[in-house]
Amino acid sequence: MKRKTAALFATYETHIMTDNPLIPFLASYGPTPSSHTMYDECVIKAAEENGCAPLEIKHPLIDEIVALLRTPSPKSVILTGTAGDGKTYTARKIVETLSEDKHLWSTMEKDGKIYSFPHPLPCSERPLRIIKDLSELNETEKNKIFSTLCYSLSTHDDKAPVFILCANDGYLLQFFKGYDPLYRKIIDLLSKDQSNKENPREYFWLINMSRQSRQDIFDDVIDSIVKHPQWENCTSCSTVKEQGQDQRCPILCNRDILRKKEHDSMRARLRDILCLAETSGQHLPIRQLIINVINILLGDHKQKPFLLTCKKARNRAKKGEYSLTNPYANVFGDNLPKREQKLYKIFTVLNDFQIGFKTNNFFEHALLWNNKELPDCPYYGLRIFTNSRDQYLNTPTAEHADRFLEDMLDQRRRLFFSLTPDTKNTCYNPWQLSLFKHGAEYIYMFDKLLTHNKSDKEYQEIARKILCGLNRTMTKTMTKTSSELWITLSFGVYRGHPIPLLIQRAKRGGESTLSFEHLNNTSKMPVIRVTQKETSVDLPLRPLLFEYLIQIDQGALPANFSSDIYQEIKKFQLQIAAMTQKTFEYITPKEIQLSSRGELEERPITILEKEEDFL
Amino acid sequence: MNLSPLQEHAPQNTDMRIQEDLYGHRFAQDQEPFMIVLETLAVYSAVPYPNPNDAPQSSYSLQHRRKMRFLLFQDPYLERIITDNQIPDPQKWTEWKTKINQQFLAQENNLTRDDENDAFAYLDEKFSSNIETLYQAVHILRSHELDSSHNRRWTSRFLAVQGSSTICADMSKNWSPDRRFFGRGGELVYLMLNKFSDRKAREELNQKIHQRFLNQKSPINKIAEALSESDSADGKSDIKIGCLPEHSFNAYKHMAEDWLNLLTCDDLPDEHLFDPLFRITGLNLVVYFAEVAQKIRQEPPIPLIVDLTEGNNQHLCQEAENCLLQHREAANKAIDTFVKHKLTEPDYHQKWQEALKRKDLLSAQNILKQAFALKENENFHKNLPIEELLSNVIKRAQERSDNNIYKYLLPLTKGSGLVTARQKVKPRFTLNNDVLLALVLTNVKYTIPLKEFIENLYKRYQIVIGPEEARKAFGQRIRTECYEENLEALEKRLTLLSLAQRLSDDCAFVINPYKTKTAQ
Repeated sequence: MKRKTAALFATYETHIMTDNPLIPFLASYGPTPSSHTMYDECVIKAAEENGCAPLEIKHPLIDEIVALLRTPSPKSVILTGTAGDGKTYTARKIVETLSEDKHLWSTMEKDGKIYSFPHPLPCSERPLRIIKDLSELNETEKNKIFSTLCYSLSTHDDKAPVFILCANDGYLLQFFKGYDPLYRKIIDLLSKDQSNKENPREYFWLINMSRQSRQDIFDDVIDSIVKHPQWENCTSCSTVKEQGQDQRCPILCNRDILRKKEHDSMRARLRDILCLAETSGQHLPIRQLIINVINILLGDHKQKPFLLTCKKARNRAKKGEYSLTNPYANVFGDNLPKREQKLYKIFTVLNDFQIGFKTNNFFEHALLWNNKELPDCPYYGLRIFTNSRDQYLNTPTAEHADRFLEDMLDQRRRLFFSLTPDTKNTCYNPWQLSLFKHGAEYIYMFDKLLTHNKSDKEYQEIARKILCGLNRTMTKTMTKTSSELWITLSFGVYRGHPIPLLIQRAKRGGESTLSFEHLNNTSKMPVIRVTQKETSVDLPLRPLLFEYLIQIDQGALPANFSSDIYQEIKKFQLQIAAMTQKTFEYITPKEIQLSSRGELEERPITILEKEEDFL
Repeated sequence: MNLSPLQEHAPQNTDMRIQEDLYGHRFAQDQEPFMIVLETLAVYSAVPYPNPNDAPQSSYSLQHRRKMRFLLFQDPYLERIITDNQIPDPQKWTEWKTKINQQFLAQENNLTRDDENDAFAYLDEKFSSNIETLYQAVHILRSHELDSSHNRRWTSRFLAVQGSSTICADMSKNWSPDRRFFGRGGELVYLMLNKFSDRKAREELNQKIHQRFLNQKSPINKIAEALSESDSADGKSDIKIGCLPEHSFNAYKHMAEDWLNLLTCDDLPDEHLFDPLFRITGLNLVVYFAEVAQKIRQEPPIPLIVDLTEGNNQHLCQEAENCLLQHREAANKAIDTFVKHKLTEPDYHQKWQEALKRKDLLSAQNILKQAFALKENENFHKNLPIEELLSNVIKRAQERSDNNIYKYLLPLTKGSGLVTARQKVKPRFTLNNDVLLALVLTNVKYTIPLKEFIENLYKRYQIVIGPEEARKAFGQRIRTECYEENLEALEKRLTLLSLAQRLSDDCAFVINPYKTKTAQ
């Protein structure tokens, strides 16, 4: 009995000696049912319990808001978005920065659920009120504050209080419903995703936290985790010291993978994915990004809660069970049961890219026959793959085949995160392993548009392909024309087959000017813009539409794609037609035909031309 | 409620005057919703614009456009001659003219002037006797035929309306107005639009219709003009317009507002307005029929449950199916109430009661004839008890072939895209993608939250989609899971149509992409 107790005590002691308290603290941010501790109020508590400094993610927005509040004419700020966007976190940080007091948040004076900042704002001397969650207010409180709030948000008054209002977007709209024009204004700002910060006629700044680009702060999110000061504790760990590189702690392996920043790193590829997701309208709350990074770092296949502890990590390393901690699978939430996986938006979004489910002959061949050109990884590469591959090659039974296919998926995913993308779209381009085979070109175009570098040759080649794809779709011919956009109007004849007629040709610097731009909002979405005099029509180039147009240029058929793409192009076509009808009083449409070289040609409608001559 | 139309407008040549008094002169079974709007536009193109006395016209005349329609739909030679290598090019024009004149004059034997040897002489100058130019114009205009897969008689084939010269009315072989496809439904819509009490809006609507549908400058109209003989040489038919009940319904106002909302979608090209317009007109007619039935029976409004899950939710499917049945049965019940109610009006009440008391079949027959303008038929003179005679009259009205709303609701809703009916599946209310677009175009002036959109649809058309509306229609205690699924399906479909945008778990917007600029 005594011996047993002593043994237990010894184990406990070793734990104390080697376990890093950072790991359970980080795990509390991961995909566990208890991840409600992510709520800002609870995070501080969790940090204190584990004796760790809470994750600090620098957000440029906070400084911007504080600067605005410190001006002689501050504006109220509405922080809206969905759960997990960091509304409360931002409000707390604003208060802390304004007051330079880290403890003020919990001690501030309250009237019901409405906080009063203890000092008037510098310069303007206006009082500051904070509503940290509009939905927490009861009916009486709401009625009481409604008129003051509306007044502050829609009037210029040097004495009126300035508000920081945090509210979920749906709730915000519900609250102001019917109070026009404020209600309409909020809808307009939210739907167009535009900032009204600089608008002098508006007395509030609406910030949709859900639409903030995560690309800039993604590095900060990863760094706040992988560069946390308490990783220092790991240096004294026996596993690190004794087991050597061959049995390296999987948590540290994963941390190394996350620390890499080059073009062929997981971090770079995830940032690309974020860009594509955002331009597809899928914005991810910061909380979801943290969950993902933690799951890459600590994900474990074996048993609930599917996250590594130091003890588990030591065991995996000792037994060489690296396939259980594979970050290239865990990045998609593969360590979680399907039902749980679905609870996290990040995994749904990442799985929509179908990474590893798409492939080409080059990759299949190279993986099957061990092509040395492909990069390897000492823990998650051939080491966890050779076994099942050889088994399958030697005895290709159904059971072996299944396991092999699963392992192939993991390897394809690893390659996706370990190769450098190229816009020439060669066979070893990692994007070949995803739904967006032309993802690299998309990112390239996106960057060039942002940096206004339109003279770049590769960019121009991409633009040419897009125009050709668009001309093919709009004229329903297999044309090669790609120097200008042929806008036809397919007349809306009910149950008829009208001949599409040419109404306008848009090119660079023409009467109808064609240009590639990016939207001036948070998504920076690339668009094709047709401008006539003062008006213009945009076709937002979502990644899926981009993929469609490039594939059409390469000879694919439209039927392979979903109908919403066709609807978007149709909408663009109709909007240009309407704009043309308004801009030019009289348009003489023309028939179109295809030359023997595949170029579009116009053929005048003689009877209409005659009429015009006569006029 | 007095539903009778003014006596001078009352229809004369009908079997009876029951639905005529309830809903208006006639909704013909074969008149599809798109033909209703065609007919309405034909009326608008024929009445003076701007209208000096601001009252709806009581008559109008329709151009026949015989020669243009003959060229488009009845001439087999043009294509044949143009591709015939045996004929030298310069002779093709004369060759074709000879052939077509022969055929035209043979067909229109009694209808052409005696001195007319070359019925198509007017084309010589317009087309410089160039057969290629003519063929190009015919070919383009032919492609603008509506419902082209339907093989109708050539005088009943229609063109998309893009200027008054493109309006082709339904005509019989001897060029008198045919009431099969232009059954007066369009005239009634014209009258409804003119009952819009807001005079300024009415004028704006009139102006928009002329600007967007009857624009003489549209290229397609110019082609049609070139192919037509001048209006004075072409034949025309004068028509006395149908009648609507005197009583005014909300549906009239809604119909006019919807037309105006749609025609002010400035970012949608004129040529694409027709499809949403006839669908929204169809929907407004369904609402109108329901409103008439509801008013006469003094019952609460009939909800319109639509199944957007494409049959995936059985419960919802069943509800939408029952709902359609309810709408149809309401029309029959309205007849029953209307007939019985009419006999209690001062003109008939006393006489009817006396006839009942004395069991005087002859005077009962006379009262019914007088009250409902009944034409006699074989059953009428049978020696029946009066009660049975009355129920026979009601039954006859409920089973008549034309202007029977119970029957008409099916083709109307199907043609508008409001009902799905497949083999072995009972018809039920749905909304196809074209109706969804029409609803967004007419009901979304500014970007609005999805919840507000469906709330508006319920207020305006009693359309039930989401759980909130289901609760409003059927009370708090109903199960709403299926309506939640319905709402999800709606959003999914609107997103696929590029008409909705989801912002977060809690918030989605409906966008009208063809009206954004004016909203700013």
